[in-house]
Amino acid sequence: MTQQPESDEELLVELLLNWEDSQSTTAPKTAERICAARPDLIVELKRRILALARIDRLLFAPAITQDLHSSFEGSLVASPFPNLPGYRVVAEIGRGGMGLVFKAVQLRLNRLVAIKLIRSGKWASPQIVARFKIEAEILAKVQNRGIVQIHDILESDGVLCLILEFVDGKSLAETTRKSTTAPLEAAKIVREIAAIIATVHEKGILHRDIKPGNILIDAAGCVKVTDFGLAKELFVDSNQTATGDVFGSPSYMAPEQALGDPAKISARTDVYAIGATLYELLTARPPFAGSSVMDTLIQVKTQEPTSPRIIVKSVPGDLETICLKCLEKQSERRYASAAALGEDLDRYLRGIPIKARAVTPMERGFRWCHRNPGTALLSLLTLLSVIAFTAGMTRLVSRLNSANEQARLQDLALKSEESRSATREFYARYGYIRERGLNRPLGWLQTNLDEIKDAAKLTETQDGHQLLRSESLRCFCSFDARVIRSLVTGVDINRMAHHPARPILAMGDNVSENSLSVSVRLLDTNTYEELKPLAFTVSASVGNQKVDGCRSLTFTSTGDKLLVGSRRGWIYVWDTSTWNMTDSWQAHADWVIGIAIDPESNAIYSASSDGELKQWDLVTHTPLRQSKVDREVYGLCLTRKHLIVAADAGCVLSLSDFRSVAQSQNWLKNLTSIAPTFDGKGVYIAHRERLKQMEVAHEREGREFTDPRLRRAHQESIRSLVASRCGRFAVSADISSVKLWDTIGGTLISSVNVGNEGGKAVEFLPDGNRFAIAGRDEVRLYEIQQHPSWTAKPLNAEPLFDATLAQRQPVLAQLGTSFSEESVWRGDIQTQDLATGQNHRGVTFDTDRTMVFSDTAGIAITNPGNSSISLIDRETFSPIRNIPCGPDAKDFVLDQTGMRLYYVADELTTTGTRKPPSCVFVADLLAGTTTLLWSNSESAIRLNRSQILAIAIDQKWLISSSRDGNVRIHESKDGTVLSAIRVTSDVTSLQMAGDSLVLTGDDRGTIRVMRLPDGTIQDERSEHLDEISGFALDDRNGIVVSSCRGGLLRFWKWDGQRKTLQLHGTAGPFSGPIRRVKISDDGQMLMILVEGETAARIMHLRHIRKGLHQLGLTW
Amino acid sequence: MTETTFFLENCLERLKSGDLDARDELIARVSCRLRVLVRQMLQDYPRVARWEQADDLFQEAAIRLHRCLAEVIPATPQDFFSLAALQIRRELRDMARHYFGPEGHAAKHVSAAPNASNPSFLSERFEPFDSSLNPERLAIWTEFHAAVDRLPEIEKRVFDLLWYNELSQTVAAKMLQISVRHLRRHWQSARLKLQEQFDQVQDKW
Repeated sequence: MTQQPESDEELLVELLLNWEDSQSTTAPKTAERICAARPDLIVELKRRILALARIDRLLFAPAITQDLHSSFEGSLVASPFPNLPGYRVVAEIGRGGMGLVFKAVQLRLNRLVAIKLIRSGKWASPQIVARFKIEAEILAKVQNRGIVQIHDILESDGVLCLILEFVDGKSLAETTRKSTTAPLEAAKIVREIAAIIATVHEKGILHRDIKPGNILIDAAGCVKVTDFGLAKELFVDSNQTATGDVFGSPSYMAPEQALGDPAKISARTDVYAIGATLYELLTARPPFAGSSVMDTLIQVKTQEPTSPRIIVKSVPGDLETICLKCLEKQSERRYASAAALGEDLDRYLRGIPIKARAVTPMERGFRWCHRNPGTALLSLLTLLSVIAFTAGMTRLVSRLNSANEQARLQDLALKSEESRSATREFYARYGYIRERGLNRPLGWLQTNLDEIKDAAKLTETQDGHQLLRSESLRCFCSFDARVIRSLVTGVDINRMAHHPARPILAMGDNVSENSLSVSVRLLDTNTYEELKPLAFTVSASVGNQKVDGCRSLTFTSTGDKLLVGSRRGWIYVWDTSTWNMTDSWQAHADWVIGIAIDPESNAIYSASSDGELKQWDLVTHTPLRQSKVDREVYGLCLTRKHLIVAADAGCVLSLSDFRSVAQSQNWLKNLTSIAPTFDGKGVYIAHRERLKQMEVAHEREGREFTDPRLRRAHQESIRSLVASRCGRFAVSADISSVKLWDTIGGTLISSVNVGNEGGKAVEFLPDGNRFAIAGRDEVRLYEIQQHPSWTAKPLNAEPLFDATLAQRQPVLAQLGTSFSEESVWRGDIQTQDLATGQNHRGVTFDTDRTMVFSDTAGIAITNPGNSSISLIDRETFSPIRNIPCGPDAKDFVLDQTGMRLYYVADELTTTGTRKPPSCVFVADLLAGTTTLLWSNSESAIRLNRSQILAIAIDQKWLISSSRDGNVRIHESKDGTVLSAIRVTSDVTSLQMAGDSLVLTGDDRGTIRVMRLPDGTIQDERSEHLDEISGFALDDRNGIVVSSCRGGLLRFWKWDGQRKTLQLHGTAGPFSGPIRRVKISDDGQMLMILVEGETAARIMHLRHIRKGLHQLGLTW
Repeated sequence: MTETTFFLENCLERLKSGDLDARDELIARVSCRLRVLVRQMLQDYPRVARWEQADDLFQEAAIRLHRCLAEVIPATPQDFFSLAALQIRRELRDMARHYFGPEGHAAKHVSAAPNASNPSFLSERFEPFDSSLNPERLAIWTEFHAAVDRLPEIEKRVFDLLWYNELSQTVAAKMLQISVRHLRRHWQSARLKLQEQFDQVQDKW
């Protein structure tokens, strides 16, 4: 027996406990009601209620600011649990389109609840927040034991949460996933659903999202309807949906819902969904399920559901009739209400005749015609035209009466309808493909290729194929990444390093849950099996304060040793052949934040977080030199000649003498992360959330890497950074996202949301195509995907000056700039035989800017500053001869012999001033002489319109275009002007097309096919919208490629006889203006040089043709 | 007997008989809660490398608990929870003083408040704004743990079990051999006493 409180204090304690207890009921009491017998205690009771609320806010305040936003596919880890005051979240139990649901314990009342919150958290749009609140209000109105009840609505850290009744059970979706439900059982369940929904309708509320996933069966077998997220109160204008909005779950949606017409949605819409639920219970599948949302919606609108008895023979006829009545396309043919449906189910269960009647086949046919009057009429007209044009009317009439002829006519009508449906579906699919290609979620590339293949079957038109070819080219020319392995490690990985030769990834622990035993774990990156851990703490050593954690990790360049820098300032060394620890020493007083090894000088470089820098002998581990920076250090890396320290105030030290060579420059301030470029001459640097490339020796800033959505690289400070050894990719990570970059073009390939420090460590595997991301509890390995139709091999980490193909051989030459040993700038040049892979590398002058590749004479490189053409050997790059050329020479074009090089240059006037490049010269590469062929007129010069914009050459003619509005035809031998054709725009590109034709491209993006010498326009195309920057022609295969400064490539089918161009597809946009395109002589390769990229791209046209063919597209 | 008490009694028995692994298991039991409390004290999750010291601090606390258990083997699960709570309180107080006091490491780092006109809330300086460096807030937390120490014995034990060790009310009541309602009275009283000392908490938060 409970003792009665003796004092007011004791009474107040009891009253407060009673008040707490009442808060968990469906009718919580106010303080006034609790104190009804003692109103004098109301004020004090209220004060204590408030006091408890205030202290509970302190006690149960969120410990972690949760980022609940996850808009990217491929999230590295599941959503973190929310942390709500007064609740302890136990597990995530569900997620839908808009919300997440968690199981939690309400601490004060010690009971289980379900917490539902908006998936996008505090980034939710106002519309979604409003809808969430409406759901809460509606739930509060529909008090019914068959509906999951709402206890409260909270806002915590900007996130709205609904506190709901926790139902210990399963959803119907879990049941139907496994098997069909016995008809009697199904009927009972759906009768209950109908009864519950009928009570909801009585309150003037529609659910609008009834489906098996939203029906729960609790432990006692009771049915509970949940998720009123799309519910609506009739006669209340909430402005939440507009005409055209399609919301709900497509497979269970009534046709009026699929059409997006809110005016037609009524209680019968919910009846349809209940019928769809019954259908799924009986057949284990929904009535409609297409391969995509659009596909499903089209089926909902246009197709009849397959009769359940065809799928499961044992379904009783009456139950099928009830089910199909619910699924009538026209709402007036369905049950008028959920109550009426419930009544008929009750009749069925009681074994008495149901009210619904079955639909006959004849009626089904009439309904089809009614829904498709046009097609039905077409069928009739087809029938009449067959009658009119076929001989033997009597025979035809008699044939018409046969079942075979009726079937043929019906087939014709169906095919017309199918054709229209196919067109609609094609454009719907194309829309999704294009959107995915623009947004590029993880895994988009293969998904798009699969979708393109399916879409190709839906169209036979040129336009349709052209659209799909363009999307195919986008896929072929792009990168993507996919997860190949996900491993739960259960530990917090802080750093990673991959063995340079063996398939071993070393992962260093930060702090384990146990917190006393820390190690480096080894993962076999072929089998993904964990090898033995390398422990460097022992729990029994705690008393000796040897507890430690990994802060830096690296292998030697030969892979014979693994070095770990620890939090306690120690360096540990393991022999990688035996995996025995061979040495350890106290290197620093603070964290060893970075270790790097220079094989050339046989030295280890280490940095501690308090700014100490040390050099050690690689073999003896004895200290050699040391230095200091003032501020905290975050990392270090080595280039060929320098040690660069990432710190609040970073510095550059020379490896030769360990002296600082740079320390106060802006680019060294606030460096949070750093990684060397693959050529060892530069670094990628992170200034908080910005990522740039930097050439170290001359402190030249390279490109900045930018996420176009953010206008910088990351949202938060970059903590980890690594570049692949092939020079094509880099990966950067902040606290919540990891980004993969294409370092050739400086563009973002993919972004992965990782949350909760899931991306603390990143590392590339040596093949350069795989990388690992690790953090709390998990490691994920990704593979970069690329279609085999193109390749690119960077010369170095700097943008190329020029690239070209040899005239006839499949040899690519690339020209860039570089820093040489003697601190003098040199040019890097490389030729690569694309057939054999053999390549040659050499140096040229740093001021060399353009080149042409003559099969006969060698490589001609031009140096505008020196006004000369340097001819060098194509393999040894040794100089052959220098040929003087005019100032600012450009637009170099070789003739077919490869011995005469035409170009445009300035000419000095008699007064000594320079004209704009208004002269055409020809250089004889063998003789080493230059001849002026033609100079524009003085009048044009005076009018400042003499500039020559482009030239082209064939055996007969030299063609020039200039700013004075003329395209001129010259004798190729001596430059004599034969004729001039007036044009209305600046022609910026020219390409001889054989048989007296020339392709012209102007500054407005228009391409013309011009007949020579009269200048008649044979064809004109304006698909480009930017200045045409170049052409490539493969006459043999009938292909023309045009490029523009907007970064797009267009592929044309070239009909040399008709002299027309037909657009075949578009690739791009690339990362910048396209400077040059060239097709190899054998027509197999297309070279693309994009301004600012570090490599020329080679598209293998054979692979493109094959790839398109596999997709069902022509080339 | 609950699963929790069974596990703890088993560990304590093993520890008494010299099984050192049992000590690791006991520490693992409280590590999760300790980590949460450390971060709660720092309010915002560390956003830059230097704030990985939170993990460092957590490990320091775990080491102290480990050493404490080496010297004193609790007789009962309840004694273990009291000891764990005591160590957590001491560690958090020491942490606050050491790192955020006037001579502390973090005192040398200035964080600029977000610029009201800058909607992106990125401060001009390197560190993003971190309200945990609000000295008043840290003083409150420091005093909070001291105030818990000063609670009457039974209320302190209830607080230790329910908040520091996150046991359910049912399990805690069984451990103390009292009814759940009796436990709730003490829980209510403890919280009210703490709130009396922190009337200004909500205003300064």
